[in-house]
Amino acid sequence: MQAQLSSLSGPLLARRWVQKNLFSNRWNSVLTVITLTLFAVIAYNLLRFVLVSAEWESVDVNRRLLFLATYPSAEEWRLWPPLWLFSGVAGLAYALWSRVSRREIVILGASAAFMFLLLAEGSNGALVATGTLIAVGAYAGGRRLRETRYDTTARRVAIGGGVAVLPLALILLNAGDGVRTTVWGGVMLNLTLATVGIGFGFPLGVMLALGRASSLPVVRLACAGYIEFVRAGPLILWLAMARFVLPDFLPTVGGLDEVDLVVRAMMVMAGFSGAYIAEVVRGGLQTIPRGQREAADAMGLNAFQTTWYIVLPQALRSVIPALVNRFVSLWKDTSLVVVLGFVDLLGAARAISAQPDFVGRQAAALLFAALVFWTVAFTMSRLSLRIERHLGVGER
Amino acid sequence: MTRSRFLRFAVVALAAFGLVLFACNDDDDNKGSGILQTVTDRGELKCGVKETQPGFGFLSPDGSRSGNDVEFCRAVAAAVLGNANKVEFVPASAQDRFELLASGEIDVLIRTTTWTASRDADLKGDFVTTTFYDGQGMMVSSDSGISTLEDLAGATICVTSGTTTEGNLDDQFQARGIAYTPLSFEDDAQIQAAFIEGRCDGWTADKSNLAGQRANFPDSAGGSAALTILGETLSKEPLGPVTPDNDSEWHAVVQWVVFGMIIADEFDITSENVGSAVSSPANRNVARLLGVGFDGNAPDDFGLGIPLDFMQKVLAQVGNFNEVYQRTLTPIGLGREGSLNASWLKGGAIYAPPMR
Repeated sequence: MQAQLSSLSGPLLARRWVQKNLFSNRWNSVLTVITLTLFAVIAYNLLRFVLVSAEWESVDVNRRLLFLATYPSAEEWRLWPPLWLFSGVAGLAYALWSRVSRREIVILGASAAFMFLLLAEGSNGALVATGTLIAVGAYAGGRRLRETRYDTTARRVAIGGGVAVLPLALILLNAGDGVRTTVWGGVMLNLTLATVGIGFGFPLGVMLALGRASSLPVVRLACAGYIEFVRAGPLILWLAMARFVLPDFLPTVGGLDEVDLVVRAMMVMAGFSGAYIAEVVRGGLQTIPRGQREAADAMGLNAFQTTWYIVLPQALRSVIPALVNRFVSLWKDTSLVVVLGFVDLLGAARAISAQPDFVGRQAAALLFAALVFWTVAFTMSRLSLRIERHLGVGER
Repeated sequence: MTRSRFLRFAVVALAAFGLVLFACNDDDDNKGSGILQTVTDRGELKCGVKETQPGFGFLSPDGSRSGNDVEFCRAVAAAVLGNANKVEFVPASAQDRFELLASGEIDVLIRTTTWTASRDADLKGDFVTTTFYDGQGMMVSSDSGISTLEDLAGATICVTSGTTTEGNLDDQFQARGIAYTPLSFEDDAQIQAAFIEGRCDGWTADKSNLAGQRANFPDSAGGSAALTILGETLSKEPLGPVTPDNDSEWHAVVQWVVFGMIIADEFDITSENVGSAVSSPANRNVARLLGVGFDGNAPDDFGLGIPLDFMQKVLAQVGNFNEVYQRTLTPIGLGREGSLNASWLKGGAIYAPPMR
């Protein structure tokens, strides 16, 4: 069949394809017509909304509100260095670990231009341009260093820089008088919470998974108990508990009971995702055949070495899709912090409808918020695909 | 042998650790001083507000908060701390606002909250006074031909969940024997969308809210002319600040800040002329309000526990009752003249006890 088809010329091939896949019998033809009509109607309405009736002015005027919400304007300088560092790391990492294809140049260029237009506002233009230049410069430098004797060093710099982005941001946010965490908001809050949730939740999850597979009964019971307890409640419940109940349970030592609401949210995010990640990792651990451990034992590796060099790399590799699934889910769960009284991206989008100029008009803002959530989630999933291909998951 | 010793050690250590934590938690219980002291020590007022209410509490594009409720928060901060900007605004939702108040997460709740008996007694809120007299109204499509509540028999009526509006709708329609289907939503924007889709025949909310929603109904759906607010009023909705239960010292402070702003309006003392009124008060009552001496007498101390000149700060930094009203509510179409919200001197219901 395949050979038959490929011997046909273009238009005829298309016709055969349509006939075979869409109109193969009466029932399929009816389904195709109904689906296409439905699709056309929805697409038409959506396009009409996006291009004609949506009031993008409400998004345009409120770009700052959506990205930073109640964060004070005078303190914006604290956010740029971490952003620049991130741009540099992204450029360098891209240059070192992969090759940019022509299609990717188009996609990257388009998204860079979009980000630029979105963030550039008045004096921000120069700051955004600096970030872009750093990214391009780091990419060029990375290309030059790749596969030279500095390659390993450059990779270490990229990894170290990536790890340093969040601490740098937190240090800068608290330096001097600092910015009260209660005014954090917008996309910035979502990104911070997601980064902390993943950054702390992942190691926690790995440790819990290893603990649950441990031969020590106390450790095993504690880990299993934690996982089952945390998973038994919805995230929104844990967040509400963090706001109203946690202060009564935490010890007063060192002001622990008056810990910031943002920190409490971070703890919940990390602790909650840790429990789920633990189960994903446990699934990975179970794919490792017994022979691997026995071979490691025979080589004279100790328990830690066996886990670190033999078991974990293989176990984690096999569960990358499920892990990224958790990360994507966590990223969107960050909008649940509305129950803590924060104005995150979604909260800001909804608040626009109360402004005198845009009362009741939140469709455009909500669509924009959806676009931001989608962009980040999609980037994560593409990155994971790339890593999977790189590691040959499912191929060997 | 070693294992059981280890276990015994672990249990003892855990118990000791737990005891330490428990002991530490004990001194949590005697929070002796009141909220006024807490706020002064903290140097900041925590005020529960809303960010989705046109005219009362919303976020500007630059991230700052505006609205009638926000102005009263700022007024309290100016009175207690001398600086109207020393406010930490805490978004309070319709569902969690009294929990926030009871748990001490906020010092005062100023968020279009209706004064009712159950909220006063059961939910442990102390209502200060009414800053805005609202009432539940009904909005319908102009071309629906509905002109009275009775015309709504069998209709679907959209309402925000968890508010007094929802229960009141039921009471009123049951009393009048009108059958209807309620449809509740989280917020006004969702109701508006449902209304445009034709899922609601009626839209009930406080009239203040309806006025704002009507004035800004999307032009694509017919603009404000497409909607009519029925004349009937379904409820009394007096809105005002709420303080936590059983702190009369703090309650009095918030109350007299609001009363002071009302009295200043009666005396025509505004943010503009407060300076000259301080240097040469027109009479004894003005001097009392502003906390300055009159005719060689020392300024009166009412025993509120805040600086005697607190109203000077409030008026200079925020303004009097009328200024705040004109700045925030008149622009969304809630005129003050001829309404219950006019001063009692002009036939309204805004009245303050004398400050002396």
